Amino acid sequence: MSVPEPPVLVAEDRVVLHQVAARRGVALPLPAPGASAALWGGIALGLAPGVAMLVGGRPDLPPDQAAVVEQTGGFLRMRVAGLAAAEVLARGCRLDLDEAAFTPGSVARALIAQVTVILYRPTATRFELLVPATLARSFVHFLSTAAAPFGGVVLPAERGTR
Amino acid sequence: MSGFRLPEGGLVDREAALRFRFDGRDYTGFAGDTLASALLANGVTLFGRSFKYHRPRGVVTAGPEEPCALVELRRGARREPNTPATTVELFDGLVAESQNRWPSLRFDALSVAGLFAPLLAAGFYYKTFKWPAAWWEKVYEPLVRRAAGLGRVAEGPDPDRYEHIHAHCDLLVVGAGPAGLTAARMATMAGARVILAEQDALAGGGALLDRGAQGWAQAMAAALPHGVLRPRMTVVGAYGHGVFAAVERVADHLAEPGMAPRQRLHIIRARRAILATGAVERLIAFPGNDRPGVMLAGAALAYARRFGVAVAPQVAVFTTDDAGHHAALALAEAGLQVSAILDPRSESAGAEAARAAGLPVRMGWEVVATDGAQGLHGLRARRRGAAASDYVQAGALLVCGGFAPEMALAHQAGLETRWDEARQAFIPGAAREGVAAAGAARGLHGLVEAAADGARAAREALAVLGLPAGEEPPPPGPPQEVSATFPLHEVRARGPAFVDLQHDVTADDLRLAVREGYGHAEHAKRYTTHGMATDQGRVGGTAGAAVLAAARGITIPEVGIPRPRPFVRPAAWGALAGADVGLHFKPERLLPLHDWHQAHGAVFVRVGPWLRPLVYSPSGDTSWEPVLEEARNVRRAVGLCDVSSLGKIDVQGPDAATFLDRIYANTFSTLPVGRARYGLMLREDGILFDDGTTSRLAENHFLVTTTTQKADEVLAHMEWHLQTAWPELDVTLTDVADHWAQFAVAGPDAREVLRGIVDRSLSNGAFPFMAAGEAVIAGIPGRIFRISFSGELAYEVAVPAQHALAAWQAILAAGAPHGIRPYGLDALNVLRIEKGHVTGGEINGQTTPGDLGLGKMLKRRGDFVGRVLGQRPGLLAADRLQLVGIRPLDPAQRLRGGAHLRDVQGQGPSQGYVTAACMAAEGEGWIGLALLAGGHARHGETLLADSPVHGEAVPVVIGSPHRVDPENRRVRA
Repeated sequence: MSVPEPPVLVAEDRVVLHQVAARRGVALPLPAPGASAALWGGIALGLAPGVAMLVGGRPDLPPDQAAVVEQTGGFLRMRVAGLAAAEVLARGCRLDLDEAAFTPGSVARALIAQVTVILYRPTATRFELLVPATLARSFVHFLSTAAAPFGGVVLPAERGTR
Repeated sequence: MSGFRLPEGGLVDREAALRFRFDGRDYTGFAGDTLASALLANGVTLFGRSFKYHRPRGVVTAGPEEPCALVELRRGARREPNTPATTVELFDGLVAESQNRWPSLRFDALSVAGLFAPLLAAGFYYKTFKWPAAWWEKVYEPLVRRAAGLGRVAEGPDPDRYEHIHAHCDLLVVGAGPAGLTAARMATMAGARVILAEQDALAGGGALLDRGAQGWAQAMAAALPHGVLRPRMTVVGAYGHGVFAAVERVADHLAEPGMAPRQRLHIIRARRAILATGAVERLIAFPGNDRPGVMLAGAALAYARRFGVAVAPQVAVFTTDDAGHHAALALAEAGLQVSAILDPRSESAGAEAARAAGLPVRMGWEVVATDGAQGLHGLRARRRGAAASDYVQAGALLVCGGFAPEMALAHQAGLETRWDEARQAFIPGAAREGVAAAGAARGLHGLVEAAADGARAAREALAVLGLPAGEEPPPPGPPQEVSATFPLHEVRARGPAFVDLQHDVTADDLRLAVREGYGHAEHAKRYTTHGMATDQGRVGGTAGAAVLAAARGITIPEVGIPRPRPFVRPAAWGALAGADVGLHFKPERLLPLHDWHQAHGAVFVRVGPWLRPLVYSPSGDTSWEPVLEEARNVRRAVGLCDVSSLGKIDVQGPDAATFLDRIYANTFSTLPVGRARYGLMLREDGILFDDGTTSRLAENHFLVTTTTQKADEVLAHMEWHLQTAWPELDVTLTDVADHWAQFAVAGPDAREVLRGIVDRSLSNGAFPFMAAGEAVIAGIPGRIFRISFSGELAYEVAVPAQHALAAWQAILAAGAPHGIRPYGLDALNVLRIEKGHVTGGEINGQTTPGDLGLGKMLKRRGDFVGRVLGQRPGLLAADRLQLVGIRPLDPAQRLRGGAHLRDVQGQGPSQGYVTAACMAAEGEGWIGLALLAGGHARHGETLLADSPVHGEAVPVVIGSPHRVDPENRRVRA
């Protein structure tokens, strides 16, 4: 018997992160700002011209090609999934999260619930948010409050560092 | 004579009886009733008392424009004032009370104020309460506040939840009447994303008052895709660029919200908007027009058609428009007796129809007085121009002074306002910036005309959106004939004729305002309060403009109407605040080891968004004892401090050193790889901005640290200069504050503690003071810096935040034999004050490096931010406030931060102030830092630290701020 998917599921974990910024005049296969692409064994999220956050994977680039800065400790990844995911996020997010406007694969740096996060939509009903680690608990409060009326389920945070 | 429930009709569910309570009495109504319709059905005529004169007031309208029937809802912390009973959806167990009456609604002691009405004319507050001035706070204000005003706010914290939501659409349609329903239907069929906001619980607007069109409205609403129609949602503001605010009353129609928020504020971003907000029927100013039983004709029609309630068995109508005749016909059909229809016009099609139905129509007549007490018994009317008047019996007088488009949102959206002479109304002009008005909101009359106009507006919007407009939906009925509105807004006769029922403003008040120089529409509003408060004077606005126009001898369009600002309707603070209240007003930043600190007795202090351990004190004791214990342990052995909140900025690129040379006031290009340097950053104006250490990790790779407070500002400052001033530099800035957890290991035993868990030699030769580099700490790849804020031998180790706990515990374990213990912000502060290091108290946005004794650090050659303006004479003057150390002459006396430094007799002006004070960890008594005029040259002087707030004046000696180890031997140990 399959368990029906809850309208909203919020999960939090760590993921290996590297911010990659191309040096001037160096062409790297980074996605455009707002787009994403599979790259170097992970998913690159385009943040600015020549700047991407690589989720998973490891870029192997010399310093004269790119500034590669590890950010694994800097963010927690929160996954908001379910049919009501976009509606839950709309409680704090000014961006239009309609599937036609923020299409699967889209990326944005967005102020949500007073926290600047990196927002990524892998599929229509799934969002991944990279939340600054020191603000994660406040953000979980926002997510759980917003998700509660939808029967949202918030999985306990990964406690490795706390 | 009072109202009653008609035997049939209305959209209420007569099977679903609901009990409710008003002013302590129990009543019954039906599902679908409003509080107003249910009270009218129960024969209640008196709903409240007026604002100023405490005159008895009934219900005037059937909608949100209601000026009089304001009630308090619910009890305790949920009590909410000033809700129009006409908008309160009845629910079982509803408790409501009337407002602004004492001791009771039927007998109000303060209604004697009415006797003094001639003294309480416009502007009386300004004229009367001027003298004696001292009486204002003690006598007048409390008196005025008691007598005037509306409901009482709840005293307890609101137990309910509110939230905000951001919504986006192609087309926002405000109002689900015939125009709005038609526009929304066409737009959704064309594939547009549509929000149709309706303040009422039911869609239909004016169609709900027409038996034939009620079904049409239901069918149109049902045909909309799910989620398009948003009932109970009031658009309260238009903010330009397609941004609108709307309050959705999610649970106001329920006794308690349960899981749902009570209200939800929608911030809507719409590509196009159609304002189909309808029109409100207007009152005519005539003597006695505020008596309970005088109401708008359309309201009586609404009570009959929508709620199945007769407002009285016998009614009279006073109308300047055929709508009044149509209402009379409908009410007669419902079984009410119409005693007279009074119309100032000579003839009209509506009058013909009424006459044909056998109703007593008197053309060329007007109402000059009303008769009754707390209800209406009758009225006096006269042929226009005649002196003599007739008495007409009626339990309700239904007034129709034409219609005013609801155009507050149109105003806010910047649509032009035009005067329509035939309608005697201000109407909005052409669409502007994607916002258009449609239907009655554009001055059109009749359901069919409104629906056709909604279709027109939808076609225009769809054309811009690039969507194909399909066929128009069916109209709400056959076309109706409409008349012009007769230009009668006031009947001049004896007695107060009200233009604003909520605020007791009469036509005479407005004329007085004109005489006293406040005749401009905006001045008159403020002088008389006409058009203020919860209803914003909707039903009497045009009448007021007409009175002002006549008094000034100009036309109504020349007078205009006051500009309505947001909010269009009252909005609850809860909805505006949303979910970010109490402890969640702002997000909190927690250290990676927050839970560890908490588990080990940390008392936290808020520093900006951060929660930082102030002191580790499981007993909760925050006196100096535990603080000094922590600090002395650092001076004596070794301590461990979580400094992860410091800002950390990764700087990379071939131009990184050049960039830092410009952004800092000292040089970094000469810094060898593997070394750190203390840096000063100035603002453009030469004032010290921030300080911190910067380390060179590789030739083109630096790590900048900032103070906790300035972390975001410094990053923005650096980015701004990189992007605007020096775009030619190839540099990448990355905020790595959250990635790195950083701990200070400080004290004479620090090297011994770290020796066993760090993979590199920490000897002075291998890793001297101000060395920096990569290291493996307890098996974790990280970084180590030999820097010291405490003045002791110290290291700061940094590990990725996910490994913070492992590293912290390894250091504690390695330090256990040395008596290591964590120390908090207070101890950190004691140590830095003793050492004479500066922080936010001294880098306070007014001081220069020179003021703080750091002037020698500024580079002599090369430009940097703040260099030019920092050389202004005022910033170099010898008598500027300069950093000094202070201590009391008598070690037993305490110092106070903020105390002013004066000469030792306590004479003369302040010469400076104490920026930091604490008990010393090394030595006895209190010490402090201060900013003192010309302080660098005044070491050895005795002054008085005067703190009048505490009633303390302490003689202090001025000295060097560097009290502990001024030769810096310990940090190099």
